[in-house]
Amino acid sequence: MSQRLNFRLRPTEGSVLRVLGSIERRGFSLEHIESRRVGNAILLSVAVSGERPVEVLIRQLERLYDVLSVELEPCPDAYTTACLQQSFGEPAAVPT
Amino acid sequence: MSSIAPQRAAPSPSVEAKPYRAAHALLDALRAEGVRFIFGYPGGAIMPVYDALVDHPIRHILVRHEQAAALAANGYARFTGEVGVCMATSGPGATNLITGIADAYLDSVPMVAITGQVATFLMGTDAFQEVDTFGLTLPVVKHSFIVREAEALPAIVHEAFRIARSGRPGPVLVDLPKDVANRPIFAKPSHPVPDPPLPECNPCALERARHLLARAARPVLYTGYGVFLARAERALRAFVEATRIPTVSTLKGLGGLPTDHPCFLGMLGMHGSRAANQAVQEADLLICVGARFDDRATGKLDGFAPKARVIHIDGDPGEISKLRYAEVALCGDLSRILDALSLRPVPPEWGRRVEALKASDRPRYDAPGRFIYAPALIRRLYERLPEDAVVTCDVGQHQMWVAQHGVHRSIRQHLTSGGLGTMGFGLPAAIGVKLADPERTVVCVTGDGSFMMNVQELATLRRYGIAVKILLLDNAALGMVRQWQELFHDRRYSEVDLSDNPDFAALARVFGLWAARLESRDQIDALLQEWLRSEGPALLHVPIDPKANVWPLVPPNKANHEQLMET
Ligand SMILES: Cc1ncc(C[n+]2csc(CCOP(=O)(O)OP(=O)(O)O)c2C)c(N)n1
Ligand SMILES: [Mg+2]
Repeated sequence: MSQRLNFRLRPTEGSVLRVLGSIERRGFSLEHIESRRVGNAILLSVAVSGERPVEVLIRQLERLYDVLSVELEPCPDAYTTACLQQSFGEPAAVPT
Repeated sequence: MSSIAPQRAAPSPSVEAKPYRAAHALLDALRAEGVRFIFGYPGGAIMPVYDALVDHPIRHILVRHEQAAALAANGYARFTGEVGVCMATSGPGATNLITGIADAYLDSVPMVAITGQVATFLMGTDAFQEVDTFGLTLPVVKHSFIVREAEALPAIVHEAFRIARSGRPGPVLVDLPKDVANRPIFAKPSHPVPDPPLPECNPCALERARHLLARAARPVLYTGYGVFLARAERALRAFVEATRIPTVSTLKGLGGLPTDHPCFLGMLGMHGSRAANQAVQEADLLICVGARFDDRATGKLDGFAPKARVIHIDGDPGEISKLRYAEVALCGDLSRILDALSLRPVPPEWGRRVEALKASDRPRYDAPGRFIYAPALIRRLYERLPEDAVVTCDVGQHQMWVAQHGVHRSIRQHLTSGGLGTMGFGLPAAIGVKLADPERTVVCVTGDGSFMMNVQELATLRRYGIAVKILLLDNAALGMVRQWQELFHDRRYSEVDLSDNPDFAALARVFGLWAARLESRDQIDALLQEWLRSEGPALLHVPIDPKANVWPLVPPNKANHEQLMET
């Protein structure tokens, strides 16, 4: 099952490569990629699949300098998301 | 020992008349960032910068291999907490830097690496000494820049430093094409602005952590290098004083709590102490402070701290629940979080249990036989060292003996390549430390294998009169690999014998060092003293038992409590 990540990137040299490389090195496969320059940013949309929690991947990608923002399109794995949100103190209800 | 530091020409007034070039602006920008040393090695593509160096006040240290430039900058940065700077030419200069850059990446060390590049109009044509340095380093840098516009250079340098030191530190590459370096520019160095403060930690999470702590019967603190990165040693110590929670540390976290503190149980993991691993095994609450559940620390992950809930306190949200789910994640300033958590002391039964674990796990230093027993020697060394001495290590058995048997009083006094495990780290790192603080005693504990990886830096010691003291533990082998072959490969020894090593003391003397060989136990005290008191750089060569192993040991793919003890 793949999940889609939508990025806004700085339009700097290598930014797309850096993001795609990080995703693969963290153990996810790239299923689909779209990218275009819009004004002062690159919009990159990537469908990824993998065994590991995508929420951790997102936090790893967020620390890249080139990544201005990254969003996960509504994700079916609500349980993991809720657990992880709760560990950060978010008042999310963990489905049982 | 005479220092032959090269003389610099005084800046001449005629310099003002020449156009201000990007290469010069680079050096000015480094100075504006407070850089004291550039560790480097010249070559074709970086020549404009070396030309600008001739009449620039910044100090350049010429190493004898670019790997050592990166590792010296790395050691400088680990010790000072400032950004280390290394520089090399394109092609082979840049590829030689990569090991030291990767080392900084895995160990979160702030560094800026500057590489020359072929001229922009030649890039992409397979020109002489052209490699894609940007691409080669992509997975081992925090960020990287190719400077395509000369005017952008000062701002890029400033940004590189900010990135290298902010948040979780790491190395940043600045690749500078030769034609760009030669261009005249008008931009002035931009001035450092302070980093934005860390966000406040989520109060709900803090409340949940307090709740878990208040209920825990068997809490254990598990601390790492993040304590140093967050400058949180004071807060950690105060927290332990208030709660008396038993504490274990990763290799790189050693010294966060002084290792002779009564609450300290030792290093955890593969070569961790039995007390540390057993306490984690029994814990019902694990408070991880600035550590990342590395496989060398956890052993088989699903057998790690099997009864514990986890509170993970870290400056980097990217580490939370990466390998082990954290019931509570506290991201932000470690000191403030620890200060806000301090609560009631640890339950007395647990205190007694841990004391018993610790009492039954005291290392012995009275090995039989005539060989010098490395753990006892390390112990003796630390008894003789000034309290503020810094020890750098190489990689292998000797590294583990230092970790286990040294007394580590703060994290920056024990520099070790943890993430990458880079043989050859010790000597260049010691050079970086000793230059940063010439008054300190700086010791490099190395092995006969590792030492040869950057042996050429003996010439750097001599050139600048850098009084590093090298303790070479010679087991005539790649000992750590030999140990694994003995235990896990049916004693099928493969390419680990180094019994044809050179005479290390003679070798060191050729490079102008004081050197001696320590051969019997009754010489230990006298020779340690002579070696430490000698003027200038010095090497003490110590043949040890070639069969000695590091104990305890958690076998690969086993849980930490299944560790093997010496038989
Ligand atoms: C650059 C590099 N190459 C190979 C290794 C794998 N390795 C780890 S420890 C070791 C042996 C180190 O020998 P020595 O420095 O003599 O230390 P000892 O274990 O004998 O104390 C080797 C080859 C490494 N860590 N780094
Ligand atoms: Mg050896």
